[in-house]
Amino acid sequence: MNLRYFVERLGWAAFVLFGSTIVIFAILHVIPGDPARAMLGPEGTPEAVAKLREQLGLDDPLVHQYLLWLGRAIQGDLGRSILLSQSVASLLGERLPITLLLGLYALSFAVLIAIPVSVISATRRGTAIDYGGRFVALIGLAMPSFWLGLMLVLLFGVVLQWLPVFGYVSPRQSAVDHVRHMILPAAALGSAYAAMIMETTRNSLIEVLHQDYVRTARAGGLTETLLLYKYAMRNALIPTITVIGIQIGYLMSGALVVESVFAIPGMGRLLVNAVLSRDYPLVQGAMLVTVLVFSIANLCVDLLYAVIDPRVGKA
Amino acid sequence: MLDSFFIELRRSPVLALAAALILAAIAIAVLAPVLAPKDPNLQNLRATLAPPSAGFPLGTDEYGRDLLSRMIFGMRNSLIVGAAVVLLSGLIGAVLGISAGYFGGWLDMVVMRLADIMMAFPYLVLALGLIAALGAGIPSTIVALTVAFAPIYVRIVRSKVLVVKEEAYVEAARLIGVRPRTIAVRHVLPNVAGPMLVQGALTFAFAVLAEASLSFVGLGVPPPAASFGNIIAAGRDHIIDAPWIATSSGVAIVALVLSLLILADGLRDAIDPYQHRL
Repeated sequence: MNLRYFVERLGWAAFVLFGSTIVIFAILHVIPGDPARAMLGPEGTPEAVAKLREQLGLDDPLVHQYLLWLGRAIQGDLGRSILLSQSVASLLGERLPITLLLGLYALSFAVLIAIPVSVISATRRGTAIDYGGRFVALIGLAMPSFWLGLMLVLLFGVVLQWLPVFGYVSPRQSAVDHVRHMILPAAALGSAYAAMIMETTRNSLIEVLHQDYVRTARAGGLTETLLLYKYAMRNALIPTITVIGIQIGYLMSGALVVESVFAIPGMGRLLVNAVLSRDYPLVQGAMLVTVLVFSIANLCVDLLYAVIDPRVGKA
Repeated sequence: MLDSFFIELRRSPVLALAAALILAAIAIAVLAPVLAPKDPNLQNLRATLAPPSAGFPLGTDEYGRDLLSRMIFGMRNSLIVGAAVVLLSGLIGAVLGISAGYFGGWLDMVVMRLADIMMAFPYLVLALGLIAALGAGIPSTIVALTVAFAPIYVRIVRSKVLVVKEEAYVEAARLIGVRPRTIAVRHVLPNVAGPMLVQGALTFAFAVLAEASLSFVGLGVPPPAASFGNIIAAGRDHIIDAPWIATSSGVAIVALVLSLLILADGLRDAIDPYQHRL
């Protein structure tokens, strides 16, 4: 990987991140309506509203407010949550790892299912197995993750009683219980993701398998296994990585709701509760951290390209 | 293009079934007040959590409300949100995408960088931020999802415009002195209509899912108004003693979204009939 490509991608991530801080700030400050009024609800007296406005610095000029917020955010100070009267940064620090673990499990689940299925589908193109696999994938894409989660709870938790249905156990407490609690949420969150990865990988594998170099290798007498895994897969996986990268956003959106289904105390649930109670500092902080994680993930994907395909970034 | 879509329709029974289901969903939404056997918000505390029966074909919820009637109105709300989001984000996508792609320059730069920044947010996170500012409700849901989905439209339209504007007929129009705005509307727009339709069907599917997600966590369609999402949320609390509440609404969403995805696929084939079929 050359340095220039690396610096370019890093600069791009920094630009997007900076832009997103403006969007986050603008959403909650420029849209008509008084955040202090909204936070206090109908019971808020004019005096209480005025006090909160002062406390939040809402009477200062917008640019001033933005720079102050950004400056503090860079130093790791995201303000205090109104709902939980705790520092937003420490709240997010507690909750983010849980969401990241959930996302990681869902991603692993999706990849472990999608890649083998797409190889089977692509090599048996047009057969009943291919159509069956694709149809199941399409249904996976059409199912809301939270509903799939509930149906999994019904089947594995209530009817079969194999797995716990709600709650979260930290891996430090008990690794086994941690895994048992995360299986259903990861499956619920990862299914639609698996469907997207599968469709892309299958199509790109079919395309690659029709290319000249594969035909030549086959004519040269390579076994189908070697051909598939050593020669075809490497090229076929490039679009797969794109989809995995782009759809991490989908995964993060899904985590918001899946955490609510399984009562997992992650960042998604925290953000939902923050929006429900209009806890603006917490909403801003959670959005900012989400974008940060998403940007880092995208940056990693960009760099991964260059590792897999040495041509990337050379032009 | 419409002709080739009808050819696809006759060729593929799956596509025909999907199209029929979508038409049925629209009919249910439009005729909801006529079709619903009961008032969707009518509570009947003597029939709470009743399993499906002749009186309540899909059972009742914890307030004894008829689930079939609630689902019929839920379908209506889903389609209202979905259609509004598709129309609004399509309009934004067409205007900004064509302007950015056709006129280029600083306008292109600003619009595309803005789209990039919006797409740095996972779509539901952006939607949640907007709902935090606007307050929950059907109009806010529509606005939030429109903002979340419009950048994709802008990108798709723009990339298509970049191809179309190099075509000979556009160049010819330019040479004989047709005004740029006329070219954009009369020659470029019809050529991006196809990809926009495909994206419209996809956006519809994802908007229905997103609305259900938001309503599920209590930030979309506000109760007591019915939505698939908030019906399922009510069903979560009774997943053990009344599993039918969550089940039926989920099946309805899957059928609707699946049909829309298949429709998107069919439209794609109709636009590009010579495309190598994988």
